[in-house]
Amino acid sequence: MQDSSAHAPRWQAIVWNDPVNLMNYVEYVFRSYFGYSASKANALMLQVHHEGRAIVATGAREAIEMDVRAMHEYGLQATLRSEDA
Amino acid sequence: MARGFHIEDGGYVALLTHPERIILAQLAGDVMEMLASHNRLSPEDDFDEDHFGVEQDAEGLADPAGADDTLGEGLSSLDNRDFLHTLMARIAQPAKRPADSAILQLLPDASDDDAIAEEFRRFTEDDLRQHKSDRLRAWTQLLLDADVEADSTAQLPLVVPPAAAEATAGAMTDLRLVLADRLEIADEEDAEGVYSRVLERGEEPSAHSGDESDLPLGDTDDVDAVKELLWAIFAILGLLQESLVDCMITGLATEVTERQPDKG
Repeated sequence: MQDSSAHAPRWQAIVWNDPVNLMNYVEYVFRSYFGYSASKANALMLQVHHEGRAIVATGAREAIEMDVRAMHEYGLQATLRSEDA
Repeated sequence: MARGFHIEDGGYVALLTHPERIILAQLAGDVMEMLASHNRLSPEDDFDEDHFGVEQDAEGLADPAGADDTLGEGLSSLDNRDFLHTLMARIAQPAKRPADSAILQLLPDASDDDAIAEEFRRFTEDDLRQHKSDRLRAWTQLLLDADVEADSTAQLPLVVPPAAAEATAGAMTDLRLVLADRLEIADEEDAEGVYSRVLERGEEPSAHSGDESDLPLGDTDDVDAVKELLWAIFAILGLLQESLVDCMITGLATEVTERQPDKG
């Protein structure tokens, strides 16, 4: 499929580690909201836990803004940034 | 001590005593007030004050459940022109990062770039605030929906329907975020320390044996006693949330299994 916005910068949604959020909750959010498989959600959660953060989604700015908003609703610390940033 | 959630007859059930419910409900009420206090569309703002002046009466501000309805009531009472004016003011008015670190946990920055963060906050903060507030209110209602004549030592079932589980878990997260901020739980080691401390205390013979609850309900003028209580609540909420999420994850697997027969 042709990507008509091939030259538009792609954005990333990043979830950050925090001392409060439970590992099983973070994993649940990744499975439930993003539809990731149990193993992918687990891997991302562990990355957040061990490395301090993980890129959980990449795409058009509007979609990434929605994802970050959703993460905030779940109580996760999340930010967005341009891939070029 | 509270018992965590398990699956029973299609619902998620935990056990809490009456004092535990009351204290958890009070905490939720406090956090709702905190969220309401960060409403950037306050009556002091100099636009259409008449409309907001009517709704923001003393009762409305005193009642955390009412304070958040004020904006909704205000908007619904305006005619179209005023509605657009208010909406524009809402979008155009700069949004400031919360000064209170606990509120900042609930309404976080979306970027380390100040301009991006401010714009994001301006467009999303009001809805996020409302969403979190509604969720806490529902949690409070769930806690208080119990037989109030029950013996206070009794462990009363707290039933969360699966459809309400995600919202309940979200409310618990918000409460724990605020507690962690107030208790200065800055990293996972601090959190582990709290759980260990609470568990150790629970294993010691209680000085208050015969009291209504296992919660350390000491003298609330004593800062250390208050801290002990908050630690205990933080631990209880952690137990409740983790067990609830385990139920929810089981629910995810069930959904997939049930979907299988539909695939051609």
